Amino acid sequence: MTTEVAQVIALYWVSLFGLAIWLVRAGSSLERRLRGKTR
Amino acid sequence: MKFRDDVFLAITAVVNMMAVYFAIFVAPAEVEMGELVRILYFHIPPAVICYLTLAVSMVTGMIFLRARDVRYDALSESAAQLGLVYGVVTLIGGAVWANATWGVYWNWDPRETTTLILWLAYLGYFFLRMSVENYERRASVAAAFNILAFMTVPLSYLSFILWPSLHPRLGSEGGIGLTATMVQALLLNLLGGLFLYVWLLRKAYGVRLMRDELEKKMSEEIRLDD
Repeated sequence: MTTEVAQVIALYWVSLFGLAIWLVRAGSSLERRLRGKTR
Repeated sequence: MKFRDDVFLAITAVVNMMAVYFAIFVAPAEVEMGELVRILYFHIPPAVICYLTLAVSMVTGMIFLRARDVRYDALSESAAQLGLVYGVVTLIGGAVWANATWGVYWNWDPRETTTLILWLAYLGYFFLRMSVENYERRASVAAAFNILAFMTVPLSYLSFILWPSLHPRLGSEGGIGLTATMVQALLLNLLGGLFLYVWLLRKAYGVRLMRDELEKKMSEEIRLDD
């Protein structure tokens, strides 16, 4: 595997993992805030 | 619901791990490109998913214009958001590949240029959304703009047929010749990518709906305080 292949694999997976983690964190934070509002 | 989500996520993880293993260790190197051909497995799936998610965004935008149901606008915006992410992954990954094969990151090849135009059109979609205050109007204007912006998708896809291009074509003469194992690796990466895309879209849509609900509750509280 060349450096370029590793760079593209890293770009693909880091971007999508990053997005997934961000969405999960945003979802939990919004859920908490919504629960606080309905209480 | 939570259990079903977890099972879906587990299947997504397994398919993607198999796909990465296939791409790196099982699929052979190509005669002319050598090891560099492995970039293909991480360049084509985001490009295909970028086109797909923008199609989802446009169709749900059109449904919103007919049905006036804000959930379709939420889905349309979430799909466009993912389109921007998949678009940037495709553009940067393609630039790395171009540098390795052509010796330059960017050479204004028709496929590169039209994909950049596509990405900028959808960046404009979000600037447009930010510029309209009224919720209903914002959704309508965005859906109408989405139909226009989507014209850049066939333009990007067909660019290397319409204009002379260095961008390689799969299986064609002078393009990348794929063996059966390479096709399997590509299809597996595409399948894994699609599973992950569906999971991301559901999450993004859920976040967007919760944000709407929170904003509605906050504006109700402000109204009650007044």
